[in-house]
Amino acid sequence: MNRSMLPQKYTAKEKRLKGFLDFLVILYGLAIFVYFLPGVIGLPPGLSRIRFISDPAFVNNSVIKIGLCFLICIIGVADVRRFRPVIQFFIIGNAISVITGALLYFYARDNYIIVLFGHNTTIRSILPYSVLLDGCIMIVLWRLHRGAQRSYYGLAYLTPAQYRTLTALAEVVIRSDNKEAVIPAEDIARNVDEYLARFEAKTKWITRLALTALNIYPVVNFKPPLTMMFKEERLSFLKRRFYRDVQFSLAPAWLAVYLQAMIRMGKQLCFMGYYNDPRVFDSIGYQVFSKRPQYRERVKESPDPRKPLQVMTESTVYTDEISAEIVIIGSGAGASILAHGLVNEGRHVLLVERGNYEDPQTFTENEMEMISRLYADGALQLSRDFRFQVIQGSCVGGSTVVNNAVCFDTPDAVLDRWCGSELDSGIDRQRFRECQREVNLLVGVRHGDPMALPSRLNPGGKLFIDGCARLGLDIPPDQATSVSANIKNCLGCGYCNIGCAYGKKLSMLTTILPETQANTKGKLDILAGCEVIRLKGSGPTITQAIGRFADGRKIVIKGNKFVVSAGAVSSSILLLNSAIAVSTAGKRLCFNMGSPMSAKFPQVIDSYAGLQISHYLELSPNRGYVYETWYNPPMFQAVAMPGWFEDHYENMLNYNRTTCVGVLVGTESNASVHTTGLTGREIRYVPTPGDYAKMIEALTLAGRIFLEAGAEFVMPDTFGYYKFDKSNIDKFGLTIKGPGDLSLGTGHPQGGNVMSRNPAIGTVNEEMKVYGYNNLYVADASVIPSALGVNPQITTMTFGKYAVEFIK
Amino acid sequence: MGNQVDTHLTTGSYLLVLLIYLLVFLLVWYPRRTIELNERNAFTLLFIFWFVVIFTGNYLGYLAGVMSFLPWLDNFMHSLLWVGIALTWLYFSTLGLPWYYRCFLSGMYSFIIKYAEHTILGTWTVDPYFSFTGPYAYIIIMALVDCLYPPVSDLLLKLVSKRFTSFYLPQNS
Repeated sequence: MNRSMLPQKYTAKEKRLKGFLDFLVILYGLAIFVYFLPGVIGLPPGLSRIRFISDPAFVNNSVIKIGLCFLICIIGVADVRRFRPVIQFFIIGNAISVITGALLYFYARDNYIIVLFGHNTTIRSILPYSVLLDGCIMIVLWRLHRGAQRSYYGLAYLTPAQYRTLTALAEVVIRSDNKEAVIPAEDIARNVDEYLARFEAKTKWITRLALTALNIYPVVNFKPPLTMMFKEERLSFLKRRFYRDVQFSLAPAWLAVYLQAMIRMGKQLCFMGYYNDPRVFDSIGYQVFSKRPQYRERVKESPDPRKPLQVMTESTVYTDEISAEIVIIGSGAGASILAHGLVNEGRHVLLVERGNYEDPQTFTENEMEMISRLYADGALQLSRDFRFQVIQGSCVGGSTVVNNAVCFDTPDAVLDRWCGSELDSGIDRQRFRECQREVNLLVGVRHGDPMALPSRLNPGGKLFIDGCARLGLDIPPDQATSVSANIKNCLGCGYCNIGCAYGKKLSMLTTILPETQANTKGKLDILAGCEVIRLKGSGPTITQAIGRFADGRKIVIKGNKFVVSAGAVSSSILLLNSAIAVSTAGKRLCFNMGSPMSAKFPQVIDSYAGLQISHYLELSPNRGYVYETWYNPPMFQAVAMPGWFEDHYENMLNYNRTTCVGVLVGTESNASVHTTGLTGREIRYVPTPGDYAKMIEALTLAGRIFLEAGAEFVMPDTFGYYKFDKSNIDKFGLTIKGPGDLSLGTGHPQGGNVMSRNPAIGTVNEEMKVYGYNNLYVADASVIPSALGVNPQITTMTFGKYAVEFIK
Repeated sequence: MGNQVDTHLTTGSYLLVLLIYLLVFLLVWYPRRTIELNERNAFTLLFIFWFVVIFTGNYLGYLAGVMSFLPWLDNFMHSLLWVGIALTWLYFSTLGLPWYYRCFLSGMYSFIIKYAEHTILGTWTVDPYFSFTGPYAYIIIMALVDCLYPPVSDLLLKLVSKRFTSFYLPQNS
């Protein structure tokens, strides 16, 4: 094991703590004599009338108490690091002394009078001095101890207790009896601290809450805190209370939800700290793109076509007010295509983006860094019961910067449903399809070699397609082939989800926005790092949007027309916070609910070394789900890798022999967004029995396909740990214990402000205008009337294009 | 009619009335907890209109001999908090409901408030009221008058929206 990165010598603050403890050793040593002497040689004249201080019982008790303080300080001085818990107990002891002293001051019944240096005084009036002394020692010691801890660990975000909790957790989560962890637990915790300090998410405090709760939870079970437990006992406690009790429903349902959330958060933090550390990569058979043999050749053969983008930020906007003809809130798929269309119509457009502008040339191979820069709060969106994760990009270009660029046209069956009497979207089908064709051309959707050469596709995807072929699932009308994507000459680095540094993914950040700016000088402005928190207006006219920068500074954004295009969740939140469409906004939210199936093969596959989502399977007639092969760099993959403790660790050791397919199920519109909850962004969602049944059916088939392709076993991403091979795959549905057992999530939230001619369900009418307002529109995935069941990028862009006609 | 009656206008009594206002307002507010942004102009208009009309109307009614005297503070609270805010909120909460149901709700809640003020402050007391006798006759008739709140408000908003095209007329009003 590598040595920890923690300092070997005492830091200056630790030396200060040691110095104070030295002082206390002398103080308490002298105090022992002061208490002891009156008992054996009698009282001095000034104190002769205070008999109790020579009382043998008082003397004995006092000497024992002060003697203990003396000994504790001596132990602390010996090694302020090693004997940290002793110092902490001493601080707690002083706190108890302060509390009891204060209680006695107020409630002591026997308040007798004593004569002190010739003056009568009550015994109670002496108590404050004792309380003050103990209080001062406690405060000084606490501050010095806290400072010493922080300086020793060099923490930037976590508190020492949270850091130690994470260390204690990492010690048992990242382990196996067969192979030791490559880096020490302290380094894992320190990595996490560094990541969190850089992470620009407002909701990251939840991680601190989870760590504190994890540390304290054993106390509720009459055990010492997690950090003080012996390693084996800690492991056994975690397995029993956080894993078995939840899996076998031994804990009450309300508690199980929180236990599940706590342990998931804790283990994910450990995975972040461990699997993002380059020292670990060799042990799991991973190589970053820049160190792969093909790197130089591929980068050279395909020069980068990127264009510069002009963006206003907090530091370049000095005024309190800014204006444009049309203000678009958001800069993702819908917003950018809409802006492109409006600018071409001669309008002056301002895009206001909550996330920061990140220059693709500065993208790195560090997953955690890129998540912080490109996702921020979008990485930590969980449903109210913490069981469903909604991931969204938060940067200029929105989710197009971090998605897999997979392109599907809106399925005919879905469009039929939208135009049916139930949803009554009022979409002009012919114009919608025309817009879709134009969007496909505009964003450069490609298939086959122009997108990526076969050698640059995810190697695991080829195994999946092989399995499909063996089961006869590649025969039309079933579709089992490589995906179409707005990608050109992919290099196969496998970093789609952390931003393409090579300009091959034709995201809004690298293509539409810079091209629009270049072609129409001064017509497209972009304001980044500014969250629109409210829309204001007079009657049915919106007059301004109130934006807020990261430092809290507010800015008034004025325009003639306003378009909300911040994504399914954020658009709903903005409308609700602005008291707009309160009866319909945030309702009818739906998803492409995803859950991965991992497959372990005997041979090395290196699934990470290729286009992340490369192949798909769509069955006919449509079953309401689609399969997409998928693999990630280690940190992302560790989060989706099944298993706990040693099982997870062993699975990650087989990282380069494992591949994965994601199942996407188009859900019913039973989710909703609310402005309540801890973060003011609450997503309420529980899968319906029908959607869950579809997911189980789809995962079972995914398992069969991989087993047919030669996988040793397959593993769903579940809270419990299950392995399936050919002998038991038929029992898949019976083994999984319900939606709470499956890890479910989405990167494709849709709906929330649906488009319908029926104002009872629609937030926007058939012209994408919000009911009751004459200059407010919505143009993003939130207008989608029901789940697509396929990647929504092209449909969202089509809505952006479709809206140009109404807004221009 | 119009005579000063026995009242008990202590601070505690007024606070108790305010508490009743609050509890009834919670009932009114619960079904619709926000006034839509585009309806706020209409809300403000109705609030000001009804506050002024009721505050002055109560006094003029007393001078004309058709109402009992409302002590100034009670009149102010009643006109501002109950009629101005709570009844206006009720108007928006019940948009879309049948007109007779909206009238009934306005009258019913008004009866509760007037009865509370009558019991706690000793106001809203006229017996007999014209030819109607009984301790509640006056309160019931005044509550019936309050049933007119929704249709009169509808009419007012329609007139204003015709005059000012930028004024948003709440849907279903």
